[in-house]
Amino acid sequence: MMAVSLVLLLVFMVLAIPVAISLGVLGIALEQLFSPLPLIRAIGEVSWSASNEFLLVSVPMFILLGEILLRSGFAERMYAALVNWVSWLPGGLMHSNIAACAVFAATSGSSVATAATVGTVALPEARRFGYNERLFLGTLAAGGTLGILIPPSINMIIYAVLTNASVPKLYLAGIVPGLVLVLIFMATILLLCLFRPAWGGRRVSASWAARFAGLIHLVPPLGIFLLVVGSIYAGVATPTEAASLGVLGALGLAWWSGRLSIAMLKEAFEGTMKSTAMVMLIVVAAYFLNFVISTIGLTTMLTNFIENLGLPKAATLFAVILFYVVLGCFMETLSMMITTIPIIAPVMFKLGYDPVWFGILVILLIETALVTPPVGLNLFVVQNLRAGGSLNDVIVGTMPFVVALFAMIVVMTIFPDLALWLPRLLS
Amino acid sequence: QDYPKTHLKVVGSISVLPPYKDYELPFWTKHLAAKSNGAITADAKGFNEMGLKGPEVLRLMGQGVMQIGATVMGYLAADDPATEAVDMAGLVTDVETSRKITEASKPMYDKLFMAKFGVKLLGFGTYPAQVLYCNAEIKGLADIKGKKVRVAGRSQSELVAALGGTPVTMAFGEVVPAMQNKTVDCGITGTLSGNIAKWNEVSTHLLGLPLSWGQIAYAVNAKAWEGLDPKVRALIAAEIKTLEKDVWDAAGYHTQQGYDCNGGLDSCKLGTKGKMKVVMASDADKALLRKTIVEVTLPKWAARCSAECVKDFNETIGKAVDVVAKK
Amino acid sequence: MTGSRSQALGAAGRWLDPVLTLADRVGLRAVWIGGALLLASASLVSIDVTIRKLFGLSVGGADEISGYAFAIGVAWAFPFALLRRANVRIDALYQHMPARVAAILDLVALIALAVFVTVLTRYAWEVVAGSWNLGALSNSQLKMPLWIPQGLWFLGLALFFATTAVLTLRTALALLSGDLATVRALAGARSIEEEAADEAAYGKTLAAGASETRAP
Ligand code: NA
Ligand code: NA
Repeated sequence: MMAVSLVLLLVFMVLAIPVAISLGVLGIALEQLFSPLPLIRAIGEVSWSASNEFLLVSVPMFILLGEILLRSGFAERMYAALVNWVSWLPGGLMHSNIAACAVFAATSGSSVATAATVGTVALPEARRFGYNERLFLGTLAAGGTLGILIPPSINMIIYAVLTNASVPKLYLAGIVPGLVLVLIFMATILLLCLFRPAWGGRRVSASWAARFAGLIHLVPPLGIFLLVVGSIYAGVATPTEAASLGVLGALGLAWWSGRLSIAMLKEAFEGTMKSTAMVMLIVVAAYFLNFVISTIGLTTMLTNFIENLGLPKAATLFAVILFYVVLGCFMETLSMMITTIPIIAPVMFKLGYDPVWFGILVILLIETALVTPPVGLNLFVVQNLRAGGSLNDVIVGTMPFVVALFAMIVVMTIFPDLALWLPRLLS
Repeated sequence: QDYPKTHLKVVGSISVLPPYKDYELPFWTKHLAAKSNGAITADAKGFNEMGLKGPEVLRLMGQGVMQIGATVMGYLAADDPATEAVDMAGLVTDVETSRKITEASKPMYDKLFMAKFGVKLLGFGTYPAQVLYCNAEIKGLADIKGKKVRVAGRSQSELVAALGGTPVTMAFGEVVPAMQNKTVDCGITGTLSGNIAKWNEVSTHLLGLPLSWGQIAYAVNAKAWEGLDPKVRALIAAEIKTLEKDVWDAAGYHTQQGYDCNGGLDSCKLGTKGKMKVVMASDADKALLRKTIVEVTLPKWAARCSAECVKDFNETIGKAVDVVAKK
Repeated sequence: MTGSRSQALGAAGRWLDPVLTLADRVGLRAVWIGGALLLASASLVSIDVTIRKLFGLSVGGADEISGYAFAIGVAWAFPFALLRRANVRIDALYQHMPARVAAILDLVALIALAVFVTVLTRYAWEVVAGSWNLGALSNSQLKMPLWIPQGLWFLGLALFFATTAVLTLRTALALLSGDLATVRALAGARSIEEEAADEAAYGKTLAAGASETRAP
């Protein structure tokens, strides 16, 4: 059963069948082959419940927010201002992509939304300043994954619900690894651009006067940032609701700058809905596939395999990491967490691993899954923000950061206190 | 007795919570096998593990997508308001009475499930009592007034509104940060499951007054049921009583454990010791609750349910708790 | 295949072009409506958040409504995303294929899509019909008759199904008549040239948007 699934998926990918369709058709095929029950009839109910999931509403909201800011010229001005400050570093704006992702991550619980927003704002600049486009795309796809490591984080909440771990502790535990990962990402850019200076884009020299004068252009995005984050921490809105507030804030700014028009809104809608439709078709298909493979027992087969290996502690950890890395290549991350964690986490806790620490490790593995092909939602989001070009560009550009994520996983394993120090300090 | 080799495909309730983990899973996969000398085998999964949310389970069971299934009664309110009756918010405040009315409601729901979904009711389990957690001082039920309360479903929503609170709906996962930041003041969930989901870390007061239960319906596709060997059917129908007994006994114990753990008592065994102030309900609280139900929420419910449904309610659940719904 | 036959197929295919043009216009308008729904639900949620904070009141069901708006908007955007070839394809091998093989793969991809969309639309209808027959009302104070949002959602899927059917037929006819350029334009993964052209257009929009503050 496992072999058939893998072979079919591989064939679909080789044939360049769209990812969503590959997952959906795989679900249909596995049902026909292995299920005595007419599972296919569930596709309607499963799709409807995935389609009106309130948590997912924040995805188009954050994309729309970004589109409006972009189309009213704020984003460009903000970037122009940032260029003056960071372009002296080898890698220039790519560092600010990572930093912008980290800052945005503090407002968003989702990696996809983080990649989408910062990507929409930053992407047009890659060409203009002569960056290596692939690497630039990579910084956006990878930087976006910080969205679930730096609190708030939808995935941490789901992990906590599945394992009885503490949400506030998980939030605290995510902060230091989040900052360390930012540094590792930046170091990756720095190293690559030291070896290949041409990848780092055209250097722009700026006077200190220009730098400080440009700071004014950081105020409007900062306002949105405060609206979105502030409303969450002031207890006004949930993270999902905050996304809606952000959209209205962006609309207000567009109106204030005199750029708000029906034509502009139509364009913003086209961009937003196209990206969202693409992502949601994958989510719908993945939910259906997940329904099929869990019903026919494929998921249980995979997890039993790990449980029954009977390996020593460190080897089990290694096997679990490997398992998530491999599964993460193919599976939508939310379904992956929901199907595997209830079985794998107890095994790890029995071996003596700390639930909060393991939670952060899982988040890192989910981040990796978001940027590994063939199924990596962040790759797809960044790809869809582009006007065109091959998905390969995004995949290749993200590879160095996949390596960086592996490095982070190793660091976390060797120094568990990275995650555990802050919760301990504040408890 | 000899049983024919039978393999059951079972969809259980939420996989991470005790009713499934501790009772349903061993019942379907081990207990029946032991009782049938290994003839009856099963594979089971919680509906959440299949990416389902619960409300769609009966429909899917009726379509033959699932053989044997479980879902939470309160989740079914969209498809028929009659399903709200057994878990009407605030109607029953102790586990024994809840058990009694649930038992009494069986003929009503068996008829409903068969007529509307082509599904046969096998039995009922339950979650432990669901109570009010607040990140603000509460002395009694009346203090809901003016508070933002996260609710799940129409029944809780109407009760909170009737008591002068603002019902807020949000995803379960968003509740913890929302309570911490005071986006909402209170939320309703199980005494022990709230402890497990760490609600005790973000709230200060717990009102010891069950507002909901969360009965779990165990059911089977009618055609699939007819297709089983009569001896197997008889065995399952008889043995499901032991599952019911185990789940209900546990619910009583877990309700108390939830109070003990959230309150930080040494008797806490199943959760983590919290530091919440557990305010046990007074007679005035119970009187207020009863008054609100009789005067506001029960008539509202009766208005949206059919005459037959109201009649069924009065003859079963209503009789057991001494209330009468008027159409 | 004889020349005359391929010409006949080509003519038949061209006859479908106005239908595709119509599909594109409908798809574009559906996307505008979907976006407007999203914006409206963002406003509703914002109002809800504001009056909840200030007056402790609730619009009631703002999150539920935005969930419906999301489902409907996304379903209505599927045809547009398809016609603009937004669906992500793993093209590592594809882009090195000869034109004829690539064209065949394009058609295979569309057929696979058609299979999936047919199944999806077929059973989405069961959801709407189920809600209609049961008289289902959402499990909230809003008591929304579920067939309404589900029906609108289904309408988007039906439109997606129709668009897929026409596009698949048009692409098949083009492939059979040997018109590889049309196959590529309708169903191919986006090429470098197209990217460049679109990028230029995109750049112009941006320049128009930010000209007054552009650094020298
Ligand atoms: Na975050
Ligand atoms: Na992946």
